[in-house]
Amino acid sequence: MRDVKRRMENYSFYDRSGIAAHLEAMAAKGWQLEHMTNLIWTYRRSAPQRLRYAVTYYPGGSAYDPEPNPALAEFYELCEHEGWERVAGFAEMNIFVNRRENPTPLETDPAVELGVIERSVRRRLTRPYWIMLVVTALFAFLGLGNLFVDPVYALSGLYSVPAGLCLAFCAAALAVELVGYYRWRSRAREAAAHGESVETKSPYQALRVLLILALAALAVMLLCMFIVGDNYMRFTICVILGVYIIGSAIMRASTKLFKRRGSSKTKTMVLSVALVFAVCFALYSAAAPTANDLGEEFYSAEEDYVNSMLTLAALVGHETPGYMPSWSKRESVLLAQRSVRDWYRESYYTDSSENMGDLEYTTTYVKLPALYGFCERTASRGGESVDPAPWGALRAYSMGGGAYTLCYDGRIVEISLPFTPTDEQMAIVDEKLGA
Amino acid sequence: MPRSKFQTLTEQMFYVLLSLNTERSGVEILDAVSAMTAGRVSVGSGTLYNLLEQFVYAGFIRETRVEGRRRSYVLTELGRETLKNEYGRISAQAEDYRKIFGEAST
Repeated sequence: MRDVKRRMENYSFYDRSGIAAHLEAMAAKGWQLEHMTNLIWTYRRSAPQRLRYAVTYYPGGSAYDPEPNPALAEFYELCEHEGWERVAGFAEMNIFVNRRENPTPLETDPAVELGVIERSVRRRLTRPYWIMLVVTALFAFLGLGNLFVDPVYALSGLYSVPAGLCLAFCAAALAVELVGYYRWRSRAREAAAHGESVETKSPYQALRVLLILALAALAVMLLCMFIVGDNYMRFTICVILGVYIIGSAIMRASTKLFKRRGSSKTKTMVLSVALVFAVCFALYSAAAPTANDLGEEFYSAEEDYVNSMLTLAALVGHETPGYMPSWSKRESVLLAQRSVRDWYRESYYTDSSENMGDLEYTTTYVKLPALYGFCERTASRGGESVDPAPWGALRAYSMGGGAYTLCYDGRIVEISLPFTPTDEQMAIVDEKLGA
Repeated sequence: MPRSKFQTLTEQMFYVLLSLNTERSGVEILDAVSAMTAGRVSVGSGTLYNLLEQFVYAGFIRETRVEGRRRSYVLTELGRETLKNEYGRISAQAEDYRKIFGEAST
């Protein structure tokens, strides 16, 4: 039978009533709070008891304060006088338990308590949450915005849609927290003016659902990266996750150690961060040679593609000095795209150079057959159906201005040529891109 | 802490300041307020701690001694003045009451 239970608790930072009620219910079931971080709370088994819990805030508190905090020595003494023992805390939050039947509450003046909560919340919640909300909403918009502008491009990317979803759920959770707090604060201010207190209630269920959805989106993204990615990507993910897990564990352990030794906040923070930085640096350095080898593998695999790709020189049948192709690759579990642009660059100019315009094409490989029709409709929107036979394609569309959409088995090519192609050149396109 | 915040005192603020007419530590204040009001007014430990911090900042009280975890405080002239103003306000309210209902109704 386990004597220790760890739970992910996502109570709002300011939810003093909800936290106290939850801890009282846990104590009645035989689980007493022993330790807490901002997300994981540790309970120890005990005999079921009827205990009173209270949450208070110290606006000057920090997650790196020594334990017990000498700055709060007087406070602890006052609390002990009334039977309140500090059991745990995180940063500005302190949790007390009282074993007496009807103890004097820790906070008896709603206006004073509200002032303290407001100062603590401004530092811990509202300021950082507003900044995070703006950043996550912006990146979620960038990640998901392409779904509406260029859905095929967005769906062929490995990160943008799942990362955008993850960030959108995070932004929604932050917004829910902020709205919940401001609504409570408004009611609490009004009540405090009349000497009354208002119970807090965090949007626990909504936050839990949003957090699970965000984690699910993150898990899907990592899974896709493992399925679709090459060895270099898989190795990089493992290294980042490993370094994150080890770094977090070291940060927790060193902070705990320095706090218990009574080190100052600055010393705990600086030494812990320095230790984590040194360990992470050592781990990344150890992983670097393997990553380099796998990176080499990636570039040698790309060389085959580079040697076989369609260039302007292949179409016109002679060298094209001054031209240098650039290419990119995107791949998700649904689609993959390769884009090439063979373009004239002034820096490669020679006497025999001639700027004939650019050759650009994007090949979309449809991995999920159900998406083929959607990709074709998207790529051929506004185009005019032309004879596909010279291109060796199933269907072909002229998009105007030398641009064509060509539908082959399992792939769609969108090509833009700087001239009207001859039948011979169309056959070369078929050979290079359609086969 | 802006001074205007304490232009009127809550009952708990009033008794905390009143108890500091003589030098007292936090624990002694808790007991003194309870004794002074025969248990009618109780000040929570969290509330007292924050009030002491705010009163020191506002200059109503000053720290006199530190013995281990225990700190002692005493009222300053400004604190005395604030208490006097509050007493005047409460007395004026009581006087107004008497004018309406008379002495017998108290």
